[in-house]
Amino acid sequence: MRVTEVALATSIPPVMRRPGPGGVEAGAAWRAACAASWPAPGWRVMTLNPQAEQGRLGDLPAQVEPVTAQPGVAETYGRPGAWIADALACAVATGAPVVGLVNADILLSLGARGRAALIERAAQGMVVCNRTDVLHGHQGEGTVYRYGYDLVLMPRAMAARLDLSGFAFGVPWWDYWIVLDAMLQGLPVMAAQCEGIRHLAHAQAWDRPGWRHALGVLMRHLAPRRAALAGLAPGAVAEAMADLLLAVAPEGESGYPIDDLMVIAGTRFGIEVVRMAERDAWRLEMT
Amino acid sequence: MEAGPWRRQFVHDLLFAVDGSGWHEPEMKESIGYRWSGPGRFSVLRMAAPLGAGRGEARLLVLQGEAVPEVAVFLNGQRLAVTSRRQGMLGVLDFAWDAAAMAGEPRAEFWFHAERLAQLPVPGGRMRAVGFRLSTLTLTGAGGGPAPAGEALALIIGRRFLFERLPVVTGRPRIAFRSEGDARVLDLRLEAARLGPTAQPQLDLSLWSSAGGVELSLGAPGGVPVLMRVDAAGRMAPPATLSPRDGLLVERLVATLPEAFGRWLDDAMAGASPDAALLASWRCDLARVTRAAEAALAAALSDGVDAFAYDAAAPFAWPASG
Repeated sequence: MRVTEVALATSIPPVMRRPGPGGVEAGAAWRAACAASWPAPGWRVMTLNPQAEQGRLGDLPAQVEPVTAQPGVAETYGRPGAWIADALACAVATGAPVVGLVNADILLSLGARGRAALIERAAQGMVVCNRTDVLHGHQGEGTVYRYGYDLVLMPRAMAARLDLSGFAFGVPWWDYWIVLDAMLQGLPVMAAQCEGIRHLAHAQAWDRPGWRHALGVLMRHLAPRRAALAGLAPGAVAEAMADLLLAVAPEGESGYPIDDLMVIAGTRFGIEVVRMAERDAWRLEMT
Repeated sequence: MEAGPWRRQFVHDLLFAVDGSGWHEPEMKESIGYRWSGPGRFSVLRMAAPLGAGRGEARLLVLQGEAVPEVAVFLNGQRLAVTSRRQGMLGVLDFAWDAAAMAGEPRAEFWFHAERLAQLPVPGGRMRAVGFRLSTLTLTGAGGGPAPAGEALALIIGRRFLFERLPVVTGRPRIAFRSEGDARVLDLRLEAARLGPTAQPQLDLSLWSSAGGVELSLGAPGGVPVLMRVDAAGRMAPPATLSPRDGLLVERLVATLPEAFGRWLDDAMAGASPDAALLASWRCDLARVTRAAEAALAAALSDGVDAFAYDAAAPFAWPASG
């Protein structure tokens, strides 16, 4: 029996809509292609979905295990889904030495060599991977999207030390917090780009209230560790953005011009997190 | 560490501060951060880079209806072959370089030369000249990067030695170009320079570049200049008319010329439309001179007179006239 090397958790939505060439709806085909791309020898994959979605997932590859997600995402973010912490805990519970999260619209076009390279690095520290945007499924070259991490892999012991409570799939900020949480604990993080981590480009799918709420979650996590952030030497601007957001985001302050301030400060703070992650930046070659 | 299929990357996001010149303030559009190049055609960006050969990707924001701009790219004075492609709102310039382009260079100095400039308004109504919108510059090493370097103590001691016993300051550079027969000539004036403990209010350095190598003349106004030569093989003999310690100081100064040239570029190229090919040829020559000077310095420090025997506080002395 092959030992599980990687346990990968995601949350596949019952329906995915994506624009294809000529305006053709390509979501269903892309969803199926993504799900089929994750399993591989040694890779165990699970999708967490709330009870209400369980019967609507349709045909999934046999190697993708359905898991009932803990409730509460719809009540918090206005859309059903799974908690990031729940998914990571399920991956950790498998006992696999490397665990990870992948967004449901990411297609892994990786051969055995690429997967082995990912495992080799992820066994030593957190590997946060940018996606490569393509305009249609058969496009060869794409462009890397630097401001987000759609595939995250790490040693199981590291995952057990992270606190991702309050974040959900499909809502921003979890990928920035997972980087920050690790770095604030002095754990190694490397940012990776790879042509084989593919994503069908689409219009922004998240909404402003969810963005704001998740930013507030991040700031509540950061608040007791503000001093540790300074220890990462992120720069004066990053610290100032953090301080501003710590003042207004956790409690959902409102009034002129708090919303605009949050958008500007949050955007800049997110880019600062990317810059910190890119202190150790790598490219995984496909050939 | 065996890198396998992994390649080290260095990313510069133009939303952040730029080491260089020829860039407007950062902006963001459609979640893509960028800076317009300008107000001149010539823009400089310096950043950390992988050692040896590598490849780069400059990502330009290109709006609907716009073509990917024509931009010439230079690395440390060497013109790079560029291919461009379009991906949605991004124009991507791909280029690569060999190990020689980064040889002896502590950082990568990229020059971008925009073919066209346009006048666009900024908020407030003022017009400004702009070339292209650069979002990010990503550099990828051809190899996995070097193994962790050893002998850190020697490096630290060596740096302290150079800083304390052979200090030089190039000061403010002013540069003019001309030609003499077959030779290209660069006249470099350094204001408020320093050689060891001795202030040099003005230094005049001229370089003659030809097929046979590069001739150098360095001196203070009214004094006897020091003559040096980098031959076609890239070798430079120590200045014969100076004391050994002062010869080391001159070699140190000459080894910093690309850095001084870069500072001059940042000052002088604002709004300019320079001859990029001429600048490139001189940048390559200065890199050659630097390598030769560093080699001469290394040889003198390793095999010459005991470097600690020199009196670091002794004033720098130019050759006597007559």
